[in-house]
Amino acid sequence: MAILELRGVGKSFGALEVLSQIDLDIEEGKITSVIGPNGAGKTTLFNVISGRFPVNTGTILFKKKDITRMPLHEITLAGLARSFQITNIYQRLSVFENVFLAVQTRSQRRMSLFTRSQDLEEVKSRTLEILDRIGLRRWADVPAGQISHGDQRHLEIGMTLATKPELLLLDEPTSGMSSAEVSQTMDLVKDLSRDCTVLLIEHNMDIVMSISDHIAVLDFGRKIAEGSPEEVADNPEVRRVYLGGV
Amino acid sequence: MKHHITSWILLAILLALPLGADVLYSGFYVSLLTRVFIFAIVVVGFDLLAGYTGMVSYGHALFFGTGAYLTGMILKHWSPWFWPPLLLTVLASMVVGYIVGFLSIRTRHIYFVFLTFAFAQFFFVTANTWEFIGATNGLSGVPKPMIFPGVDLSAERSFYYFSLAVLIVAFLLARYITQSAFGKVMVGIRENEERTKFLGYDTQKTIIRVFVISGIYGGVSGALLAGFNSFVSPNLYHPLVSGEIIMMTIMGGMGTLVGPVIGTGLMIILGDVLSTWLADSWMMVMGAIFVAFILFSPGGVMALGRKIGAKLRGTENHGHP
Repeated sequence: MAILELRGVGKSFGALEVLSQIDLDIEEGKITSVIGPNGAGKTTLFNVISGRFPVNTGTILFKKKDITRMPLHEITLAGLARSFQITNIYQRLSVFENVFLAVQTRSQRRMSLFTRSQDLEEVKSRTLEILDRIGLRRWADVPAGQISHGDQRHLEIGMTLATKPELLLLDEPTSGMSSAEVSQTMDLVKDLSRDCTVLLIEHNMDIVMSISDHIAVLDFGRKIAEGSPEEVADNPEVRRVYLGGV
Repeated sequence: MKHHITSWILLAILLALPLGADVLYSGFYVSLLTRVFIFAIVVVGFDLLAGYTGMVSYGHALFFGTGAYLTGMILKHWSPWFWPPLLLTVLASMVVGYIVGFLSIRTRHIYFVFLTFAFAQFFFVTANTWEFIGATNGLSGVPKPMIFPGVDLSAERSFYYFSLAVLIVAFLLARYITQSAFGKVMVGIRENEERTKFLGYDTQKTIIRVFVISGIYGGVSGALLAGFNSFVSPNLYHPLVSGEIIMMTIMGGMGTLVGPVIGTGLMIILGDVLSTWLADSWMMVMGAIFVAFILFSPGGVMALGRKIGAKLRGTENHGHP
């Protein structure tokens, strides 16, 4: 069953059409990757799905509910969360506080003026669980801006995970990482996919081919192919515009 | 623990201070400190908005002035009691805060600054032209309010203690807010609003709430000032007042609550001392002090204190784990 359905989605910035008539179904429980050359519209696709930019045309259904015009905080609460291509965390807050604020969003007392945050025991314990899962517990008290780039990327995934998503959008989670960190991140993504559906943007084709159940290929804002990794690898148009010698 | 002991000692000194007035020192100092307490309330409220939520308003005088006019009018014409105008001030601040907040928070940064400035200017011009509230002459003859049967605030000491009590309650409430779940979201907005939205928080609604809360602080502060001065001037809406609120907050240390209270004391007391010594040129010196703070200790007195403390202990933190 499709957890996310895009129908005729289009997005333009002035005269520049960045996405055109995108139809895409994301199957529940699977890892789907979106690939394409630079400027193909992958991140814009994430931006319109997550509510960062409004679409110009088309509709987006999440769990059969129309989220096309929904405010982005409501989209997150509906169960769709994302990470960013450029790390987007609270640089000056501690690693613990970063995850705490993300976990707090699922607490019934998330906006309470009358509950001291230190009394939110369930939030604290889940924060520690997530820090363990992403391997950052030892940096819990360190300002997030001071940990390594790879750890910051993991922290961001942890924050996204903390919102209890049913669909996780990961925008180039391995960008700028060392090969050891890439391997750790891929293990983490595989681990996450046991709990939720993953939609991934990734440039590293080895990763994409090994981890994905399904791949969609964008070029100049259009979807030019989709299918299993093997089908996509064998597609002549995909080979021409993107894969080259793969 | 050490922190608590310092607070209790400071409170004891503040409570004992008026007892020596007119004997050991002039009663004027009691009046000066009362002024500090009253201004500190609006500044603490402003710190919730600017220091904790990152929304620097340049129109906070509008709450201050509205609280003062409302209370002044009611005390003068309808009720000798302080509580009805105080309650109405709180309600009016909530309404004004919601409307101004709702319209202003659609913008950010310099646009937010100027929009809040424009709203305050609207109130400033209205107060200067509306005969009903005295226009440019302001509202004079505001009686000292009654707070309990047989207890009014006509004595300097009683106003001092009452203002101190209101400040303490306001401060503790603000501290509780900053430590609450809601307070963490405020800080999240200050640090990275977009990320906070993507975590599932309605940041617009949160900022409006903070704007309203902050406005209540401004209103209550203005209400006290009306009774204290027995006069309400349209200049309470002046941009200079909004600017002073910002300066007091920055000089003390934004986002610390304690700092802005210290900053208020520093600016009012220093302003008084300098104006006595230097006549007309005191504002130049005050300006130079403010510039020095911005350049050398943008975190205000609090940051300066922390830096000196760390130096004395020889444990200066260079910011790396």
